[in-house]
Amino acid sequence: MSMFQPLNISSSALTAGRMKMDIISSNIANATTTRGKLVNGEWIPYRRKMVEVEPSGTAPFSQFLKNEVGANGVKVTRITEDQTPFQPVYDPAHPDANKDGYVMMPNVDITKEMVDLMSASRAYEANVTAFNVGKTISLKALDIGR
Amino acid sequence: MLQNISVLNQALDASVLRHNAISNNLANVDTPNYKPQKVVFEELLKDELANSSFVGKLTNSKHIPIGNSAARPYITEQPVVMQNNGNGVDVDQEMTNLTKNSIWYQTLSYQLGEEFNLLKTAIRSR
Repeated sequence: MSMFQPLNISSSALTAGRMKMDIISSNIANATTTRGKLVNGEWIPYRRKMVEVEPSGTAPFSQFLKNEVGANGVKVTRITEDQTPFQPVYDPAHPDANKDGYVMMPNVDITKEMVDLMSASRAYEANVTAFNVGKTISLKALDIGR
Repeated sequence: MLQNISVLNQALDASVLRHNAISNNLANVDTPNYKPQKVVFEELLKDELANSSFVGKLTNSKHIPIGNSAARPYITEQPVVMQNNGNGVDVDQEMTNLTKNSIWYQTLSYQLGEEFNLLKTAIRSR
C-alpha cells in the first residue's frame, strides 16, 4: 500500500469511466447505422457495445492465503456486443431494405444509452471527488508536526 | 547529512523532469501517433542506495559506472494506444500523475527544508 494508492484507485476508475462514456457515445452516434459490418457480402447493422469491468490486479491465490485482498481499483477487461435482435423498421425506399421492405436497425435504445451516460457521468464525478479528497489528505499529512 | 541533501536534490530534479514529461504528454493529447513519456528514477535510486557499499573506480570517461554512481533520471516512451489515431495519452492517468508529482515535490522540498534547518541548528549551536 503506497502513499499514492488512493489516487491510483480513483485514477483507474476515471480511466474506466471515460472508456464507458466513449462506448456510450459510439452507441448513440451509430444509433441508425445500418452498415456496421460486412459479413459474407451482406451488411449487418451496428451492434450495441458494452464495457465489461472487473477489479484490477485480481488477487492471486497466494494473496487469498495471506488474507490480503487489497483495493486496487478497476480495469476494463473487454468490450462485448449486445446480442439482442435488431429492430425491423418498414422503409421500402431505404437502400438496405430487404425484399419485404424492412430495414434492420441497430439494437441501440437511445433512452437506455442516455440513462447509462448520466450514471457514467455521475460515477465519474464521484471518482473526481474521491480523488480530490485523497489529494487533500496527502497534502494535510505534510502539515503534521508543523 | 550532506548525502541526504544530495539525494533529495536529485529526487527534486527528477520530479521537475517528470513534471515536464507530464506537461508534454498533456500538450500532445490530440497528436496522432504520439506515445506518452515516463520518467524512470525512483527505482534506480533505490537500487543505488541499496548497493552503495561497493563502488567501482572510474579512471576513464568511457568506463561503465559500478555501484554508487549518480542515479540519473531518464525518459522512456510507453508503447500504448488509447485513441484511434494511435495516440497513447490517457488524460485521467496524466492528471493523476500531475497531482501525485506535485504532492511528491512538496514532500521532498519540505524534507529538504528540514534538513537545512537541522544544519542551521547545528551551526548556531542552540
